[in-house]
Amino acid sequence: MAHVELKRIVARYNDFVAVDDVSLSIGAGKFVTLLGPSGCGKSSTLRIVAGLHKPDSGIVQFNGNDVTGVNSAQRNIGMVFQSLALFPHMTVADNVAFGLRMRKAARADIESQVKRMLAIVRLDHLADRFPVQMSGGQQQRVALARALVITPSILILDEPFGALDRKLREAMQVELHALTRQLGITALFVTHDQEEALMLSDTIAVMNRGRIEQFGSPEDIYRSPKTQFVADFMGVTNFLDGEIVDSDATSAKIRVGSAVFSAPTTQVMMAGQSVKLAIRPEKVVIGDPLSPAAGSIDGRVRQITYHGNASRCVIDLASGEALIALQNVTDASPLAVGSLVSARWRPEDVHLFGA
Amino acid sequence: MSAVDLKTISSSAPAAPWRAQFGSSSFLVVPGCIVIVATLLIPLAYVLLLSLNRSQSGVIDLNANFTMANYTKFFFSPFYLRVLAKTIYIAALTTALCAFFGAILAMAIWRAPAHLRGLIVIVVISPLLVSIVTRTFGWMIVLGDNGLINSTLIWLGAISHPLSLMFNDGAVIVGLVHVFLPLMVLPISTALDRVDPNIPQAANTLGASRFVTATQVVLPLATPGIVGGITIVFSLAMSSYITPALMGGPDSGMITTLIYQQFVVTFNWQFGAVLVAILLTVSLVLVGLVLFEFTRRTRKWMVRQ
Amino acid sequence: MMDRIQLYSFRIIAYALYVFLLAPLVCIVIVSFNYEPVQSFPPSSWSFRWYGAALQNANFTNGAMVSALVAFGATLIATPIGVLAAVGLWSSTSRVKPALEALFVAPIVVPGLVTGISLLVALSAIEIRAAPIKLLVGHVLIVMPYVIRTTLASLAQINPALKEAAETLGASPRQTLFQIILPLIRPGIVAGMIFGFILSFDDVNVSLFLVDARTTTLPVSVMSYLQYSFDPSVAAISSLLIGFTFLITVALERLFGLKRLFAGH
Repeated sequence: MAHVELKRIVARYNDFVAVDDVSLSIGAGKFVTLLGPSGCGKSSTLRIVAGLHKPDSGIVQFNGNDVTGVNSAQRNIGMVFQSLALFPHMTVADNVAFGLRMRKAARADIESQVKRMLAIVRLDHLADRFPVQMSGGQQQRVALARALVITPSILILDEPFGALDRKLREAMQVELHALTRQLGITALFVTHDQEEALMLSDTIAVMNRGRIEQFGSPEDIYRSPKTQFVADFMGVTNFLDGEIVDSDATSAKIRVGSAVFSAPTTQVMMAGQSVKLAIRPEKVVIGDPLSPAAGSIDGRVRQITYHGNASRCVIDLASGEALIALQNVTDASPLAVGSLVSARWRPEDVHLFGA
Repeated sequence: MSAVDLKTISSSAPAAPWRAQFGSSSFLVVPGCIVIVATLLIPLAYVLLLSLNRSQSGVIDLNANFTMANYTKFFFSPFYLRVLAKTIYIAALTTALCAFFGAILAMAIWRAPAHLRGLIVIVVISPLLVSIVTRTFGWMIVLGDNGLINSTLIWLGAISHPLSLMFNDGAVIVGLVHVFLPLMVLPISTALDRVDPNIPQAANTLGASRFVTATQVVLPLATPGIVGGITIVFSLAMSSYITPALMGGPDSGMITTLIYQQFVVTFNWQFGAVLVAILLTVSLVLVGLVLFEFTRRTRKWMVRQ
Repeated sequence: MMDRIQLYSFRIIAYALYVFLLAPLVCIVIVSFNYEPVQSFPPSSWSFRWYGAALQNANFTNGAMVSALVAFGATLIATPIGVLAAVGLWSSTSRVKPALEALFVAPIVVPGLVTGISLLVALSAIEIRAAPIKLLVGHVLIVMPYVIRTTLASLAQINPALKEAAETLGASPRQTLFQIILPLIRPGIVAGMIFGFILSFDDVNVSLFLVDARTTTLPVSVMSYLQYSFDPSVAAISSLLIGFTFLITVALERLFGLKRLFAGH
């Protein structure tokens, strides 16, 4: 298992800067995820770690050794591709054995290693099948086994579950989580699915426009997004325009329309400064407008949609902005489209970003 | 069932009206079928039947007295058998060379950056769009006594007298490889286009060199194309006439040379027909064997069971 | 290191093959500008005189005329038949579809020489002796498979939902064919026609048995000329053909993609 370090990586495609000065440290045995929308540079970063693309500048280190100029075949990495890229003309056993053969391992050694790895992914009974004869989940496990059998310095996974249906994807996520922890392997994972990232990772790097916006534990990223982009990507959908009325080092009062809210801050903010208040939809509480509480805002219900365990209300505010609220179906009083409501939330559920 | 019943059934069937009118009425293919049956299959059948008539110079009408005499004549003549063997040998060698070089060219197209790919395809295919006569003539200029190669070698001082490169089997094979190489490259290239571009990268990350990736991973996946190319090139090489006629020496005769003589010079149509039948049969059998062996080997991993 | 050596040897072979493919064509063009009446390489003095000679050679000009007329006529006949057959095959759900497909590639599978001989024999047997008719029949067989192939390749790219969309909007099958399908596959049809025309114009294998002394195609007259004479007028006429085909090749690559033309779909 290796400790992998990226230092000031830049990658350009013609004029487009895909990776813009990215530094990243992946501790030995850690599971790190690059999370972001398509085109954010996460796949380019991953291909640079894999040695499939040369960065224009910057250094890649495995265990402190510079491997930037080392090509993929010599880096000792295990990679799972989005398309899996199983060799269709080889049996499962031959697919798994391929990396060992390239390393000129002894025949008996190859055989026992392949057997052991197939047992780990529970495919020992299908060793002689060809990929085309297997289900999507089984193929997925072959790809994992093929990447892991060579005891790679790092396991690299490029959106490996993208093509699977939801149920299978969840099962594979659980399996991958168990497998990487069991083997204590260093892993770099790429996805655009924040739930997948939260569930699998020790650390997440949220990427946007070729840069890392935030690097931290899943809890960190979810609870305290540092930028509006991260908040947005992690499922915060409400961003209201506001203005600082008053602030000290730990909290601030913000005016939104005619209402005033409090929110935690980490620094003193200047009165009159424009800010964005970000609130998760599930933190919005809808109440009766006739008994207004302090720190609430009035609006009219425009749309209600049913989502099984919750219903989603779109509320038009006086400012013209819309507020989305997710309500637990059982404890919500039945709302009607067109009715006036009052929305509020706890101060600690607000994230403040400079506008 | 009455006509009325049929009508109600077809109009109430959920099948799209398209299918009702175009699918059931595959009548659109009828003119084409007539053309092929009337101008290709029936004439070909006529020729094959003619091969069973006693040979009689200048007589073209079929009669009902079928005989194997012409075939006996062929198979008991060392001369004809030698020509057949030579034809197979030249066609096989041409095919092997085309397969080897064709695979390399197809890989070059596959690996080329997008903006160069079109250019390479034009270079590879351009010979195909020029008449076979023109191409053969070009080789006469390259290989002739005053041709490109001899002039260059003499200029370099490597030789003092021109080598005789034309009018022998080597010249025929060079010409045939040139003629058929594009027909080998194209199917391989098409097969390569279907290979997941991540597959060579996967091999690479697992530690395979370029050479191993090409020979053990990528080319095996292109076997459908290689086999397709082999069948095309082999059967066309077996039946090539112009290149051997223009570039071959006196003993480079292939079975097609004999065929031409029978039909155009001696007017022994019946024996000519025998030669056609043998040419077609041998090509079909050999190509069939290749296809059979290929299917046997790849069925396991190509077809979902 | 080994990797490097392998890569460079691969590249060297590839470049050698490009040279191999182009050398004869380039040599023809060079020789066509030779002044001397014998071919020599490289030419010692240059001129255009053999272009003049080629264009005054009645064998060549008549041959070019015959070739053009036959190719044009064959394309004109083969195109509608081929397009209909392709559309029929495409929309067919019949169980005989594979057999039909095999039937339509038969003209490509049967060697040209055999096609020519079969037509020679069969047409003689029914007393058809006019070379123009024989050539036309033979060349329809040359052109048609390629029109079918390119049309099928274009049809294969049509989203089947388009057909259904047109139907749900109330179009009859005939309207769908003429207003939706045919406009979409027009480039494929045109490419097939051009390509078929070139193959017909260039053909020797089929034509060799169907020409007579008065009606001969250009490639056949070039071939017989080559058997007794080597003067550069052949190079001149060949160069003209190469230039002509080269322009069309580039156009075809732009229009349709050469690979799809030859390799099917």
